[in-house]
Amino acid sequence: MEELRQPIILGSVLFYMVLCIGIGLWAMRKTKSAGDFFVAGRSLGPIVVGLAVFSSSLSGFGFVGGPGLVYSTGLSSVWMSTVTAFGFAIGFFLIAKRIRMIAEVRDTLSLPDIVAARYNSELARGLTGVTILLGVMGYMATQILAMAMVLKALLAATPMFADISLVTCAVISTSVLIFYSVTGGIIASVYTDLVQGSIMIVAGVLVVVTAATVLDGGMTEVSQTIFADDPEAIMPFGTVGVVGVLSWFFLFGFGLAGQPHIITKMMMNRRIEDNKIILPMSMLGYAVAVLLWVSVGLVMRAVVVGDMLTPLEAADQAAPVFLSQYAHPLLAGIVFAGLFAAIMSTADAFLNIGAAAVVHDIPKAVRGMAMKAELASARWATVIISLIATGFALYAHYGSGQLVALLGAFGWGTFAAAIVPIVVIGLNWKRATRPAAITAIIFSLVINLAFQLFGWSLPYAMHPGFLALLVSMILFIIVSLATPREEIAKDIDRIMDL
Amino acid sequence: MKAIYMLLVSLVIVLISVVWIIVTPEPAGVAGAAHPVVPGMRVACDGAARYEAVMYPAFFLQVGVLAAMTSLLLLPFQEGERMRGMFNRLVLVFVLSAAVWIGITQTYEQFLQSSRAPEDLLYVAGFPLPSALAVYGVWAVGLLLTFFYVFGFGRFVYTARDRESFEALVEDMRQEGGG
Repeated sequence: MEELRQPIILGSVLFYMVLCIGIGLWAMRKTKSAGDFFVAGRSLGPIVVGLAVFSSSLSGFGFVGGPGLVYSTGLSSVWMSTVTAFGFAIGFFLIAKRIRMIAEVRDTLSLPDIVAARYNSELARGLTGVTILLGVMGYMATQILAMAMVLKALLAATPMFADISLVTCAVISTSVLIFYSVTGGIIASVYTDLVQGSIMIVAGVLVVVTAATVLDGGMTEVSQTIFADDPEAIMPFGTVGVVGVLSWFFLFGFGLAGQPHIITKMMMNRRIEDNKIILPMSMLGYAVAVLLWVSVGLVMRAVVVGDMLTPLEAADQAAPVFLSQYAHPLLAGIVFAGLFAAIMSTADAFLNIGAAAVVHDIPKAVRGMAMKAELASARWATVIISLIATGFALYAHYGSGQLVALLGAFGWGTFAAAIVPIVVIGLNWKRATRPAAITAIIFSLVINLAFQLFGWSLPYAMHPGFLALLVSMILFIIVSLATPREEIAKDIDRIMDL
Repeated sequence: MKAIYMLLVSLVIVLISVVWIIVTPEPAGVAGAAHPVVPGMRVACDGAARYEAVMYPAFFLQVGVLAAMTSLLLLPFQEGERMRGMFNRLVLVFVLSAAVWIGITQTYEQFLQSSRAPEDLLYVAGFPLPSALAVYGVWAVGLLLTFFYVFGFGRFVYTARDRESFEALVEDMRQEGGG
């Protein structure tokens, strides 16, 4: 079986890509309007939405960056993963029902539509659209680069493809992504998410079982081996320290509910009652993925510091090396397909909201109407965003990585700081005002960009996104209280009473 | 006190704790250092020194964060039966999450004050006790929230009366659009 490892891995990834193309072709026949393209006509069942929420919230970071972070910093990153239990709950307690109601009453296609309806403000719509577009470009570039690098690493292990270039790998993987995203829009995206989420759960369970058996004494021996090298690495705050991990806890706990690709999925379920199935489904999927993230990272740290394996060239190799050293070839095949699944599911979600910002939100804010032939324009916008993001990704690799790193780091924190106050608080507090919403968005953009551009850092490894979100929330409440009460549209007012 | 004011007060407590941390002098190696042997890996340096420097503001910071999360979760439940039912449940979540946080800090401080020998450590489900509380305790309290949402959905989140009111709103909007 071992000699078949490489063909099995390549076969699994190829099968997965063909499946995505097939889903794209199937979804193309169901996509007849911009509403189908952006929000799947609000017709999806709870299992599809649940798996789509979970898989699009966990990018390649969960399968590659997460284990790498545990390998590098010990248990520190546990604080950004376990808090997602609170993050998902905040999203569903506070906004899932209201977002779905507004989507039905106002026939909204995007998060900026919701913001415009709540604050009766085109400026708020436009600023939200611009924020999303800036964040999407960074995210997309990092995801495309990750896909290309993983594909290159996989193909390079086969003599026939040993000299394949990164550009070729970027072209292959982006072509698959563009194909199903353009043909099938969000319908293809959520049904590939269904496949992707299922693969991620199966792969996660199998990897955790494998990880627990690498050392004879199981996870306790893993912990003891790490303890013998550096006790703090296996203690609750890891090598980052208490303040750094608490800042992650805050940012990821509150910030998850402010991620536009997740909020947009809350518009897509057929019935509001489905939310009580979607929340536990998303939680279950994420819990399994987190177990993978933590267990693989810890096992790899233990075997390296315990002199059972030579040190990795880079922390991000923790998961790939684990698979090549300890996983059965069939499991390695499933997990590598799962890795592509994790990256693509996030990338397609961002492509969709980016296209909505370009053809729907920003034109509506500027000239009062969306682009003509919205469905065709959305497909073109999807292609153009993908191509620009691929250009950014390759520029980052061969030229300066600063731009992509800047936009990628800018994305998550800015989404959290800009969107949590205006949407999560704003949809539950009638006293929230338009000036407060605009202040929160502008503050978030400026403070996050400033930290990235000037390379500022905070003491005790505090995450800048934490400070931006904290101050943005406080500013939003204080500015709302300090400005005159505003009238809310009658339908939105009635929804906020429910 | 209204949930929004509770939220504001909690966030201000967090901000004050942050300022307290920022003005506290940093011990050496506060965010760890490169591993002496393994490239790409980090070690913590003197964990006791960096923890003790900020243990009080960090403690209050996290209590403020947990109070802010509870207040935020209370925002949609502002009247009548909904408020009474969810208030008790969310207060329970706050108490449990604060208990987990206190458990983490107490057991960690006991570890720092001990001989730090491996045999002094109690392992629970694969992790030293303070870490087991961080890994499983935080997650378990979060799961409790999901449990309240799922089983309280028809009573607190989307009641039969909500459904009727929403259907009436949709009908009104349809008539306005048609008229």
